[in-house]
Amino acid sequence: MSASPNYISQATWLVRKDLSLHFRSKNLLAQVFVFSLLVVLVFNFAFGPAPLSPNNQGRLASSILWMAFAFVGTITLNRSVEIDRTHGGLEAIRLTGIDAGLIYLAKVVSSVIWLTGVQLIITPLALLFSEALDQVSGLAVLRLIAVLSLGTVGFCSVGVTLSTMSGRFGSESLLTVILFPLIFPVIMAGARCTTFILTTNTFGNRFWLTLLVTYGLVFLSSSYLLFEFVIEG
Amino acid sequence: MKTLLPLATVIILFLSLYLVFGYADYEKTMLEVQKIFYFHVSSAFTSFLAFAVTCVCSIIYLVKRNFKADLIAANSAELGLVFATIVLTTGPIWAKSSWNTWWNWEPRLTSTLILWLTYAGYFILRNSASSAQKKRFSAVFGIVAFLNVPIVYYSVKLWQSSSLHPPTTTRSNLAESMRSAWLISWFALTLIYIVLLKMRTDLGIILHRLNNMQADR
Amino acid sequence: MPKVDFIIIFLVFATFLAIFQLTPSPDTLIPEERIETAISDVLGNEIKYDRAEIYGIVVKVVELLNEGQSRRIKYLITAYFFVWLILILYLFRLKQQYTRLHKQIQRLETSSDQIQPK
Repeated sequence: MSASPNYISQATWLVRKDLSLHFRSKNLLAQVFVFSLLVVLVFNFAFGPAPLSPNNQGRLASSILWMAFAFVGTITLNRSVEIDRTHGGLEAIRLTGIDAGLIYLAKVVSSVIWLTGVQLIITPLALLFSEALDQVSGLAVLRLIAVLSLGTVGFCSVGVTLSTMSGRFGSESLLTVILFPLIFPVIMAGARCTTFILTTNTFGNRFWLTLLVTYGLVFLSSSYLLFEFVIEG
Repeated sequence: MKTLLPLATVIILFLSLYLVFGYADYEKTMLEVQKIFYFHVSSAFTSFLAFAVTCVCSIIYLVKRNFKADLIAANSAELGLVFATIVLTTGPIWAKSSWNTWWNWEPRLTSTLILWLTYAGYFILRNSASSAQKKRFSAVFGIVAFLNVPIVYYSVKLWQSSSLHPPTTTRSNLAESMRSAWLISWFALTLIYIVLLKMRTDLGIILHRLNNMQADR
Repeated sequence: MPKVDFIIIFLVFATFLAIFQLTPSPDTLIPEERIETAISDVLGNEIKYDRAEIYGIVVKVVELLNEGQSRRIKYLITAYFFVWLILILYLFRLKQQYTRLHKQIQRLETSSDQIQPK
């Protein structure tokens, strides 16, 4: 029914719609930015000012980064589902006959873009406050971006499915409860890679990268197939 | 036939008890405490089996919309949680007695903890959902959660091995007597799982039919 | 009230586990004659060794072995306490379902009595 060019234009339209909704409210932008900054600060204050060895400083920085990223990601997912729900947007989109898998992929793409934007802001700040910024060189930045992107894709691939299921019932903590156990591998892999990049400027054990890629592939494909069961009815 | 399965379960259970306590050799370093391992590891495997059954029944439910498939999926997930709880309570006891620490991020224990949290989420989602969506959502979650299991297992293994803890899994070289004791106790726990699943599912089916009868009146 | 069941089971379990953990293990009791016989079996009737010293060493060794063993067995039995507790709690959950089933059947019977009074 849908020829190839139609797919792409539908997907682009969906992604643009989601992103415009996200960026519509300046208040929300400011809220997310300040929230992520506060998370980073809270952890630094809780940890204390005592300087650590460069290795441990890198570990601290990467754990704070991924922690903030997990929380901000949850808020983002909840928000995007809430937007769709309040104005009946999801039902309307279903009525136009767009393939459910396409809706899913578009949501993932828009969430990834949004989260990557947030990360571009939090990461330098987290590194700054954890005193790990000096350790970062040019190539390390590229590697860092690669790891963060892979992690974001993995996070959103599971997160979009779960948030669509839990978003109906309003509570944010429900999403946290069902999402976090599933994304532990992403956090583990991402944090380890980030630590390696910050301390030794290499990717460390290649297995972690393979894990991130595998994780993303597995959950993207399975959620693509399962998403129509999530939004039917 | 109906009594055969429970009877076989009882026989195999007592056989396994005999093998564990009366036949298996003592392990060199841990002596008596090592006997916990027979039911500890077997429970881990049984919970894994239970979650696999949940995944398969979830797929069947999404394809056929058979209420029985959803019932078996949920009951199996519950039993999986039960066996995972057994692993998580016997594990620290074993760890304390052998390595003098209640929790040491051993890969099997950590993976089981993550699994336990995942399927606790399964039930929280199931109970929060409206009755129209409950079965569908738990089916999707059951499939996605099980896909995560091998990934969690390998990532925890690597994650733990990169720390400074000494390797703690002791499953690799088992003496012959210990292997047979372990296999029989694994078989016994699997049979217990099957019997409990059957009992719970039969009850669920009867309740479902009663509800339908009442609705018809 | 089904919840009371679980509380009672927990209390029983906790009581017995506490008693088990807190009572000291029985003392090492090895009668003197058995040690003497054992030493004689190993050494024969040679007069070369100082019997009293060897006796003392053997008693100490046996005590040490037993002390470690009673600690280990305590751990082992505690683990099995927990295994049984969890399985029994599940059985009580099954009992909850049975009770629900019975209540529904009773309700059906009374309502069918009302439709066709006997």
